[in-house]
Amino acid sequence: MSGILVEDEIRRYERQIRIFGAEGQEKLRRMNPNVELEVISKAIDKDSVDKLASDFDMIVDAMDNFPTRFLLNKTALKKNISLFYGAVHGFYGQATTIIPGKTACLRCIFPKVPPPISFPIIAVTPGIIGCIQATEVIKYALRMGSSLANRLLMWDGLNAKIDEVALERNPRCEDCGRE
Amino acid sequence: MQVKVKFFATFREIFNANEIEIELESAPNLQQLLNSLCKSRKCRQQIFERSGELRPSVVILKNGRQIQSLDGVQTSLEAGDTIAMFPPLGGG
Repeated sequence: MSGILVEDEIRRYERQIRIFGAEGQEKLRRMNPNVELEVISKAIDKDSVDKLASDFDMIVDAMDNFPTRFLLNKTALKKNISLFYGAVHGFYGQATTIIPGKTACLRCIFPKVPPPISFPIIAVTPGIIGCIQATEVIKYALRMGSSLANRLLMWDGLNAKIDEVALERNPRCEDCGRE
Repeated sequence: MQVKVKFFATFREIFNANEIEIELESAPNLQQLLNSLCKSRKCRQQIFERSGELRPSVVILKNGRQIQSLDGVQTSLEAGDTIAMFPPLGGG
């Protein structure tokens, strides 16, 4: 089972290609009647996250804030579930694939919760990063290709450039450290 | 000795570069590198707090490893190191 976790389905942003809730569920079901789909309308917080993620094989991060991302990171590590991170700021985007015990986790990259800021959104950037995350999920499920494990993909829409940064686990990481 | 510095996302605008190679005196640390990079007051304000500490919105990796898990700005540098600098992107 895979999960697309969207924190608040009530918000309808112009960047959301799919509409969630009953309408979105029906649309997705029409597109592929063979997929079993369950929509859970529940906020992700420290009390709910373990139960929400309990049956998942993969978690796709579609969050818009770091505190919830760190909750997902901890839960993914605890339950040995792969986490597909993606985030955006204006024309820029980042994505990586986190495999518990094998790759750097979110806390290895961002040891401290960054200060909350209001970030600009160019609606196409979440689409690009979302498609990269979806590609990662499909490859992971089919065991094909090379994933973004230990690689942070950097999308620069302003200059139409894709780069990557090699990542390493932090042995003293607060969430996944071995020391 | 020479190290490579790669900038990503909004840091490309702060440093007006995608990537640079910089010549440093022998046995430098990251603080010296940042001092060489941040010549203007505006740049320093975007990278450092008033206290001189790195802003929490500055992510720096040395050869893929977060410098906070090394020795922070005191992390030593060697010839051929690659430093990546970028902000944490939070939107989704």
